[in-house]
Amino acid sequence: MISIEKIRERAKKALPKTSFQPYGDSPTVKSYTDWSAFENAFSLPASSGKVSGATATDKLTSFSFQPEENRMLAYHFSHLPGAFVADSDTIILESERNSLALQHVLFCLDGDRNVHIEDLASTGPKSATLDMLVRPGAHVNLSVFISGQHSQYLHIRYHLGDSSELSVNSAVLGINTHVHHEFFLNGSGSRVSYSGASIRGRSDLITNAFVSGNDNVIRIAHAVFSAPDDFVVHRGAIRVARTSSGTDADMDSAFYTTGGLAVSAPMLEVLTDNVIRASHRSRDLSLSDEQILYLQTRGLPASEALSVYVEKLIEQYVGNLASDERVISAIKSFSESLPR
Amino acid sequence: MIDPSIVREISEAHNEPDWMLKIRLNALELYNRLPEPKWIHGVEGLNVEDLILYKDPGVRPATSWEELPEDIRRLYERLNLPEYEKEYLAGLSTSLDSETIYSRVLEPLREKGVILEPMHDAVLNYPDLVRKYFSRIFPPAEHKYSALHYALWSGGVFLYVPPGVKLDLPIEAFFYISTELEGQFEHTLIVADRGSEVHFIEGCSAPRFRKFSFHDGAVEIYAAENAYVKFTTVQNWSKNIINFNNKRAIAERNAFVEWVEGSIGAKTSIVYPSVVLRGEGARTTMNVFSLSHGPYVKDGGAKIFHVAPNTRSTVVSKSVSSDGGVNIYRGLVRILKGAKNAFSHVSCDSLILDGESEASTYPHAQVDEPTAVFTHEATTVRFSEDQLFYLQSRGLNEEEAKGLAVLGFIQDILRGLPLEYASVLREVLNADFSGGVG
Repeated sequence: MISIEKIRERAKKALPKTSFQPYGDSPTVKSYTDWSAFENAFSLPASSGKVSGATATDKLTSFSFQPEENRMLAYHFSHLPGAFVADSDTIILESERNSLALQHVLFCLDGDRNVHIEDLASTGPKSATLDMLVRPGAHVNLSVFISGQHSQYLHIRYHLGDSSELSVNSAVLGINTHVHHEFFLNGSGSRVSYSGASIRGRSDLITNAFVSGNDNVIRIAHAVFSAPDDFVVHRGAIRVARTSSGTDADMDSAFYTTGGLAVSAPMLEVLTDNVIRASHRSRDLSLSDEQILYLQTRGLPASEALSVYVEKLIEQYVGNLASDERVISAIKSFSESLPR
Repeated sequence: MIDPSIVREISEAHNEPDWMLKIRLNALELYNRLPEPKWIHGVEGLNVEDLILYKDPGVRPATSWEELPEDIRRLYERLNLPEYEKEYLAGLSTSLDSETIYSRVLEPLREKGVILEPMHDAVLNYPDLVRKYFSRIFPPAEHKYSALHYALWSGGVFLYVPPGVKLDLPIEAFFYISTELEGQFEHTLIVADRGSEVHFIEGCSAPRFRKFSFHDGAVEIYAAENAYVKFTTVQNWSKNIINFNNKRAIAERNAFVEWVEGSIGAKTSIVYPSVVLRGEGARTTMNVFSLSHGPYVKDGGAKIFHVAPNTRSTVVSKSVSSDGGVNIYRGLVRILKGAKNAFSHVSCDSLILDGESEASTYPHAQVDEPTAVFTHEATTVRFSEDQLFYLQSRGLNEEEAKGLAVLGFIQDILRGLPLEYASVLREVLNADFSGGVG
């Protein structure tokens, strides 16, 4: 068992030595996340915020984060009021007024499960970390809804057991949102399928997959939708370790901009020749004039055709979250930025 | 820290005007102030202060082979340069250590106003022309090693092609490092005026030393309206050169800049050719090939800035890693607001031939313009047992099969090279894989 107190002590030691990001994001943009807003939030008192679907605990059976990794994690764990263990398939993590909500949840999943997680920064800034253990042989369908009017950091680590399957749908709507989905495939025969969309606002979403086991399959697809004044980013890396074999991995990073900055940076690090496939692509989802003309010839006015196309496109990425009223509203907001 | 007296000495030795000394001293200040770039791999053990920062080969610049000392002439004959010049080139410039010692352009082209001169001579002979472009295309402040380059630059070549002049044959610049623990900082500046056309080939070589040497060169290209510039590099430094090269082009309205970047040699190579598509309708294509055969690091890529409407870019990168080799593609496509209907496509393919080798791809797309189209795709594949089995069944041994697979993999890039250079590249690959195929 790992005590929260020990984690706090370790993080406190790390805090003075860490920075938000060890190096610049790109040669032309200094940083994709407004870390100064988080630094300002550190002056607020720490709280656990509101957590539903989980029970508080002061000891954890499993903990995979490294507080030394960056200043955000070091601060998060050094001031963490307590941790939670999930006891329901629906977890809602919310912020609280006049405080910085710091939350850590351990989630152990076996059998066939349909899980829903919401991370909401509607009343104040927040930071949440989740360790999600997908047990050997488990089949998990997960939806992750992320939204906020305040700065928001969410870091989920997925650990896949042998022969497990994890399917994730995600939707991100936020104004200063930094999200990590990290998949660890250390066993054999597991499969990850991730599909998500970031719609408007300012968000930096990172999807990383680390493969050290054998015969694992990874499919990652994320799209960003950026309207004027937005700043929407998707980055991600697939790292295939020298010890692995038979990996079949693919990352699809797409974007649609109607005037805001859209960033796509899918990366590959392959340290072995024993791969079935390791590929990625980055693409623009906007329709060409010819495609719009085609839709017009089928009887749809250009603006309507574009709206329908964008709506269906986002639905495809967010999966079952498409019926969520908040997602529908975000899609509508993006559609309104389309050229008329 | 590098003492400004070294910079002053280099400047004085070439009778440079004050404006050039000022560029050098400002760059030195930047170098001493800027942090070590964190994205650089494979330069551990490099201590710039320990290097010979300027090495005068002791030869006056010549315009005919006969004027050169016999030992140097023989060196170039062994490299087939006089023969290439006669058969295939419109002009040739050669640099030995820190100086350019030979440059000649075909007489009819010289009469049309084509200028091919050692960079130091051009600073004195064409100060207005050089000053207009020098350090304005690739800025010294880009990173620590570009600042170092501008502080210590020596040698290199200046090429000016007047409006409307089209060169049917390429011009080549050849760089040679003769000693270990030497720093070479040559500077190439190409100005292709309106509607002109030129193909410039850059070749590099060095004997194998016990210790390493450091190459930190720069290439600046200005392609004026409707100009066409093709820049081909066949980098075959010996396996203990750390090769750093700062390359950028600016393409004005309807100009076309084509890069072919072939990286075969060097212990560590860090090169990202970049193009700023500044004028409406400007285009670029970049073909990047990198071979890392052995414990060597090739960190390359391409960077493109779409600034104007209707600009187009295409990048094709191919890398082969074997025997513990590491290949890294680091790219950037930045499409700025207002670059209406910009189009960019980036494709990166990596071939890994064994379990000890690595390939990484770090592309970045930053798009601010809604009417732009961008696509990127990358794949990493291995040389499969099925392919090996098939080729062995046709009578090839394993090494021959691998060599053939590599040649097939880079066929698209080879097609873009002049025939004689493609055959040299083929020979090098054959030698590396010792299969003798092709």
